[in-house]
Amino acid sequence: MEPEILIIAEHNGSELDPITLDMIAWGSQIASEKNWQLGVLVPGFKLDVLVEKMGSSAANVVFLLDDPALEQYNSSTYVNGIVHALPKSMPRVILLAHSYRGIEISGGLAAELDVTLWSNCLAIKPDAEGFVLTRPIFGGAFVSTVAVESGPCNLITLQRGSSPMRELPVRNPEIVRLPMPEKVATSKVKVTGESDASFAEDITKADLLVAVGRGIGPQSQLPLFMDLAQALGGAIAASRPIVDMGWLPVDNQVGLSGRTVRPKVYLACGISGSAQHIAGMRDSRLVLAINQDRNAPIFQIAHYGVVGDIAEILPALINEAKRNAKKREGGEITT
Amino acid sequence: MNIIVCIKAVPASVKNPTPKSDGSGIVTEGDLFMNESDDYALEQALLLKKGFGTTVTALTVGSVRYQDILHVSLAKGADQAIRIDADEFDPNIVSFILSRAIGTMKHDLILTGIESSDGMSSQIGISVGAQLKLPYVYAVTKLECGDTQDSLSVTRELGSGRYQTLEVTKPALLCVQSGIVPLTYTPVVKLIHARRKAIPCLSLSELGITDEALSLRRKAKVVEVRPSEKNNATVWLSGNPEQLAVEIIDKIAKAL
Repeated sequence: MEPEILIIAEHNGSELDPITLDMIAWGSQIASEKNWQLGVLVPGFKLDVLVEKMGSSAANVVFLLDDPALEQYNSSTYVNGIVHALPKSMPRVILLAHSYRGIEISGGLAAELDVTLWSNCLAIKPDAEGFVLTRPIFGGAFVSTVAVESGPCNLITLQRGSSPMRELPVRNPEIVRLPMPEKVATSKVKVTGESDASFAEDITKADLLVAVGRGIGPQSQLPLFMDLAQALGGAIAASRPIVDMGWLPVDNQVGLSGRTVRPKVYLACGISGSAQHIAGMRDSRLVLAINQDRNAPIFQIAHYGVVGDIAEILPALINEAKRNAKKREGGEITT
Repeated sequence: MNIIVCIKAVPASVKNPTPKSDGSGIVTEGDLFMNESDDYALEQALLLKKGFGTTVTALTVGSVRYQDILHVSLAKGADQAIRIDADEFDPNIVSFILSRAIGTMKHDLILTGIESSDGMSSQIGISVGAQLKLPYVYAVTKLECGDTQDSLSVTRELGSGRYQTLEVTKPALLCVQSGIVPLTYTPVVKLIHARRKAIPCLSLSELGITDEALSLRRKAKVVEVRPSEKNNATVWLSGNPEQLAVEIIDKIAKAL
């Protein structure tokens, strides 16, 4: 079977990354509108555990590229393997995750196959001439709509959390095992180690996070936010720029390259809300955001929003939090 | 060792962006600054220069309006800065132009940022590396290299707190993650001095890029730009600081 739309699955060896399901949802929508076949290519090693999870996928066919060479991620091995695994008639669309790996693999594939690459898409709609893509621009404050020619093949990378939210057909896809190419050129990138970052403070356990971003003002303001977090009985968290500037350790960083948190309350102070940051906190139960820019993407997911300078509100906020804490302590004594 | 750093000028703030009439990009107004992610790439290159005297070249694709970031790069310590005269926004086209230009220059290491704040495609660095058939690595958080060694020791992010260490053969292209080295302050005096220097400019025809070659690669049109959709469920709170504080702490207390 030679599917016209092919998804390159993202997984951690035992679980499919949720973005794979988003890609399948978009792929399925495009396939049904275009009357195309949908395929999913899974590169990795010892993939049997994933096969079951693919069983109920909406794909017509699942290709397993199962090889010890793919146990550890290495862009050149992956690109080489995927190029050789492609069906003889090139898919019209190859869909990848806009992730650290997906960005590398898609760039490598685009050059190798000499096809166009459209990255970081939020939505993909087929039309008569080709595709209409929605992409975030200017830090996510705006989106652009881009009309792309159909062409022989388009590579597209999809941003996280952008599923078209439709019910997927449940198919029993054909499972096809594919071999890695026998002759693999010596890679100029050698993986010498792989590890998880170790975190001293575990912010994922906190019920409340006071998260600070670049909009909090000078570093001298930071202790005040720590006071606020303490008065509220929570922990301090930060967006990437704060950690990059060395104001807080990476232990406190929320986002794609830091921790994924799901507190009861996430108070975002001076955080604009890049896609990478939102990916790490979107499942917080209550999100309150204070930011000067009404167009800041953080407001797209905030339950409550305040447009204003956090520095002006902060003293009152600390006072009120302390007053409330005293009230709470008082209450606990009497009961 | 020759290091080329690809940098981009981006708008500091954006009010009413509109698609260009031919759909080739987006019209913005106001001042342009060096894309922060690329600034980290430049700082990393300059740090290597301090270590063992490499030559650092800053390179951008843009009209003369985009030139000032090259002056900034000279003020920060780059040895030379080159502008390729082309006003392009599509990353497929920009990466094609950059790879052609770099192909004509001496390069042991090419550094870029991981994303531009305006286009947000994150694809130019890797595409340039792949088109030049060089090894490439995205999201590099640590870089060590000796002047005479054939390879670079690299730490890179894989996301979700996972990291890899790599040995990468030179020449190579690395997209550096923000925070890889601290950003430094550029003294105004150096900036004034740098702004007196002429910036060499390469035309596309000098790079052997024909209009036909570009038009073959023109496969997309920006048809609309609009503010991101707001979550209509957001409840906006307003009032003086004291009123806001009471309201915010009340919402928090109820949710805990």
